[in-house]
Amino acid sequence: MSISINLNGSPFILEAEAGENLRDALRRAGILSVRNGCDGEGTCGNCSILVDGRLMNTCLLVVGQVEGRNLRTVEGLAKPRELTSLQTAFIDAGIVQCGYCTGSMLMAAAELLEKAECPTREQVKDALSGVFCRCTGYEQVFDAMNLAVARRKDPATPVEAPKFREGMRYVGSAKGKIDGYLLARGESAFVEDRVRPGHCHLKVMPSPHAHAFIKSIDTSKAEALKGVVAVFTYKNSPDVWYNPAGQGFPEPSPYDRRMFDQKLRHVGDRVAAVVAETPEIAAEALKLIKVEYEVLPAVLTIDEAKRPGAPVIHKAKVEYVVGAPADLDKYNQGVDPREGKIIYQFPIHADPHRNLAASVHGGIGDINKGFAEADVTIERTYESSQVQCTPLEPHIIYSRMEGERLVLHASTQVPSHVRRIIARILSVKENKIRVIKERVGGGFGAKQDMVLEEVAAWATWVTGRDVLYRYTREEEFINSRTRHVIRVKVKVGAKKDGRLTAIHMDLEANTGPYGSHCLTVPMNACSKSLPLFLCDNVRFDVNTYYSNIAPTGAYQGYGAPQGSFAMQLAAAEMARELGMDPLEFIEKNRVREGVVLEILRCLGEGREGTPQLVYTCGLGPALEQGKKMMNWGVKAPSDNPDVKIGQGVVILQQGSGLPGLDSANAAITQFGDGTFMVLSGGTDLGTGLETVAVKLVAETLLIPMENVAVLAADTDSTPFDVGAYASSGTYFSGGAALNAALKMKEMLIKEAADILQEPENNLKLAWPGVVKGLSGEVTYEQIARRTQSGTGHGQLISTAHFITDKGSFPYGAHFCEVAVDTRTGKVRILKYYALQDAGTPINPELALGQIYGGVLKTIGHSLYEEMIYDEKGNCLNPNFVDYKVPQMGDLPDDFKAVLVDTNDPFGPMGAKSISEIACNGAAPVIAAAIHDACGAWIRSWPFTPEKILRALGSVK
Amino acid sequence: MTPSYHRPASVNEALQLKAKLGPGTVFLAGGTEVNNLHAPRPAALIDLSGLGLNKIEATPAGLRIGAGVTFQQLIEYPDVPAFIKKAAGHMANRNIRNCATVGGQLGANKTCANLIPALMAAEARVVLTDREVPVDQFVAGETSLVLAVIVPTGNRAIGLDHHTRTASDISIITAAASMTVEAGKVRQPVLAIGGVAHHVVRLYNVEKSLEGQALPEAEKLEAMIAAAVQPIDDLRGSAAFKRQLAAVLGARVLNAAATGTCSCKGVR
Repeated sequence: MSISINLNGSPFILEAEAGENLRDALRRAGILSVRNGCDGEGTCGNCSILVDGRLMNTCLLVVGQVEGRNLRTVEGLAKPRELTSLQTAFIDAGIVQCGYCTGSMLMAAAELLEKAECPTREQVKDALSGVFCRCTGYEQVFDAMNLAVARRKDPATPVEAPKFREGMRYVGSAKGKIDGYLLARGESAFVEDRVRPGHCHLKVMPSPHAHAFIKSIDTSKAEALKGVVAVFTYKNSPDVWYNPAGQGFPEPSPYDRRMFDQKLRHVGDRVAAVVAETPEIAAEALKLIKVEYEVLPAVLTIDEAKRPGAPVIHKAKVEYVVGAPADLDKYNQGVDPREGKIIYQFPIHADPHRNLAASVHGGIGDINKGFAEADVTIERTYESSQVQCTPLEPHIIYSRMEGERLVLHASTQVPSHVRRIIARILSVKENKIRVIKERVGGGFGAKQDMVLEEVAAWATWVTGRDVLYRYTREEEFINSRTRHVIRVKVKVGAKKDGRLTAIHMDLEANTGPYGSHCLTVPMNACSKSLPLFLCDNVRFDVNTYYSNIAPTGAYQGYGAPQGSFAMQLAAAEMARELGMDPLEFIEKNRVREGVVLEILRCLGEGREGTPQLVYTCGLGPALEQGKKMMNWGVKAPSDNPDVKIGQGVVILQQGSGLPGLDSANAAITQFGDGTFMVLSGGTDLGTGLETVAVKLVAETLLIPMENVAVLAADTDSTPFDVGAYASSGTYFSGGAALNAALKMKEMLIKEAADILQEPENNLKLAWPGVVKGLSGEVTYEQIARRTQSGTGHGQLISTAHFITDKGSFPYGAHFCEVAVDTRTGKVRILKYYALQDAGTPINPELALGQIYGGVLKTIGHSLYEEMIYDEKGNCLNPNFVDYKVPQMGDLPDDFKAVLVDTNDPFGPMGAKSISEIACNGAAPVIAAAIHDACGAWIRSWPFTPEKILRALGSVK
Repeated sequence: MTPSYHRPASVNEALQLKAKLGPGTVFLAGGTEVNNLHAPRPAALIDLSGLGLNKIEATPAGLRIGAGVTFQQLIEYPDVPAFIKKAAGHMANRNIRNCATVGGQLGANKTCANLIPALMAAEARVVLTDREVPVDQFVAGETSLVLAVIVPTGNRAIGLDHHTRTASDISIITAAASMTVEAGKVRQPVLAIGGVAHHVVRLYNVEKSLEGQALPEAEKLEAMIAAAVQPIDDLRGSAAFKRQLAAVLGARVLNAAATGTCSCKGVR
């Protein structure tokens, strides 16, 4: 049918059935900006457009409903190649991160600005209340709206953002995000925008059981269905064991899975895959596959997994690449071949036959002596729930052949690891595979693992066809990655004056069916929380168990949010026990500049770690400034006797990548007119990493940012980088770009010395792109023309890498004030102040955005989010109706992120990391504030009204 | 299968289409329920937008709100009483309020409905194709096509409250109340609670025991309400938790209605 509409100001014919979903029809008509984050449930709002001037979810409309109406999408906001002042305001205010929701946010904002001259905070919150964004934390939307309003009068109004490093042109100042422009226009950017006509669709048959063997499987009827290209099961897929965790090789995560396996270890685990001409045929074919299962009892909790005689998730044959124990043959006696294998690259102190996936134990000093010296000892247990990363763009891969090579358009944090792992699974050389990281619609750690890429890669490699594989939201919940469920028993001893004498963290983790990050996440819960307190006697015990819940893995913070919840809340409880102000207790025990963190010796990632000297630590000024902002100790008055007010404070830290493990590379090539291209291995997830690389190069070479182009994370064109995880982007990938720029500087000086006939040490670079000597100067263009001529030395190409043994820790203090309705248990966050030290914030507006985003995400984890299972291991809430995430209406009333200035001696131009640390504060600081308000300690996520009422005794 | 789509121009045509198209045919208003791709897909859609049901008019019986009026229109239309605006504002978020309609909410008749408790407290009437019924009677069993609701005008205070996990969540418990207080005595009280039964309910027994009495202390009210509701355990909370919420919110809205502390003026 042809249905007439008006689209972005012009008549338009939509070719569609009147009863067809409008979002699908618009996508087919080339409107790419209607994004899909909830599969047509209407909960994410990422497909919003204006219909007759009102914001609506296109997924909740059918085409017939919009016949003859005016539809406006972000594609029509500005003229081609231009931007409206609203779009530039969004970019300049730092509210464009991954960009997946940006089109919808902009249309919501556009509707409001058409109706309100000067919108209030409440109006802005209401206008954008239906658009879910996981990256930004929304707060800078208010800045963007104010800026857009101001720019109506004066288009030159500058953005108000903090500025660091006087004398630098770009580093430390808000200069926009270089991929912000295409994202704000809603242009083709994501994997889903790269598909070609005629591609196939891949769908996977999920295991209906949490724990089972496949007794028999018959795919003949599915294979016979017209339009089915291939069907894969454990019988015709590679017999290669691997771990999908994107970690540096050799990985600490055990190789405990196969692409398809005869054993199924969680509901949703892969039984079979169908590749077909259309999604409908693929779905139909899945129904034709006949499977008989031998159902095994499911293990869901840590206590069930560690119980003697518990069902074993991996009663597998164990192999070690190095470090096999002497009794391995005995260990492997009697294993069932259907259980498959586990290959350890090196020992991680696992005992899979009793569900122990990994363990580590260590400490400093004498814990018994420490507790003996204590005047007060407390022991408390803290538990985290299973929370999902929920990137708005679910996992997606588009694979195709180009001649004899496999090309993967991926939404990944780790393109180089994906190439390496897939080459191994397919038994091909790495040079046969190209991974192109497209714009990533949210990663947050879930995309540090390869969770569907290898299946599509295999399908394309076997069939030669283009294959698209995109998770549904439900698959994203049950098959992607989540935070490890962690339970920590913390025992703390202190003297009466508040000095800590002993700390013991006894931590147990639930890794689910596979061991992605099963050693390192729980270990990081200790290594990012113990070094915050100076204590001579410290012990930690970490045991991780397999179970049949949905897979866990990396999630922004990587264990630290759970560890910090336990350690910081235990500190708050100890302060109360001692009758001390929690802030005074923190001051008495906290880490400071100049100390050496001995505990890190026993907290390496599966190998010996290195004690680190704390060179810079912003905790002093962060605590001081936060105390003032907060009016610490003076609570807001409550006008309702049922509503009690409380305050909390915690301190936090993270790392800046993994010293001794991570490595990044970059190259810079010079063009004929003297401009440059930086080729970075770094993986920008919307965080502004490519902008970091450009700024560092422009700043070093004293040229405008426009003179530096960037290409990143394409494994054919850019050099090796471990990828975006462990808060390594700015420090490592940025460090490599800076080192390449420093090398380019040497090259430019050498060439100029030759031209000017002056010694190199007479020469220096000068703005805007010249080399000055005593006798004269030469422009970069002149150098380029000469080096690239028939008599030149060749094009200037610099390459550099960045590695370090230094751990430049970012620090922070979070303060919060809550109101607790003691009759309904409802918690409202009145104030949340996050003060963090990121060294030099290279993109300050984006650094603030990452703080807001990290905090709001973890406010969600603390108050709302949890995956809930029935006794058979079915997740009951794999959708945004029942799994509640914070949206704009849930913002703290007063929300401020502050960058505390420190200047790191090792990071690029003084930078430390920013991304993950912001996730470590919300849980403990909100829990502490809830206690301060109403006297209840809530020691498990999420702090639901029901838990609070139970703690207060009003619900039995 | 893509559902067939029909846009009749009159109520009669809509009813005839419904009868003709048979099972699997549903009326389509804003689409937030019917078009949800997680819900069972209908075979045929009868779009009601051509029936002219999107008007708000003052009538002698009260404010007549067409079934096709959206929640956002309720908020923006100047003559809609404040308590209706407030209840409409409790609906999820702006995107949904721009589509969801008054008739759609009644048709879906969910226990988490935000507007229905307020309409009950206002003793609104539902206009069907052949008759009018009180909202509580409609909710208890009607399934026929809704053309409008009539909200009687008056000056009774309406108390309203709701509890959600996040701001965009569906309501776990909703509560609305109205009453007249004469010489310290409660007259003709209404108490509507959502989230404790299959649909929103009026607690007639509680209303009866309040009639003619001075409004009891909150604690007593809570006990009366707690005894009158039978919520179930589900993902959003235990029965005990929901009973507590119903009791606390119910007592609060009764108090608000009695003291007029809620600024929302409604019926009588």
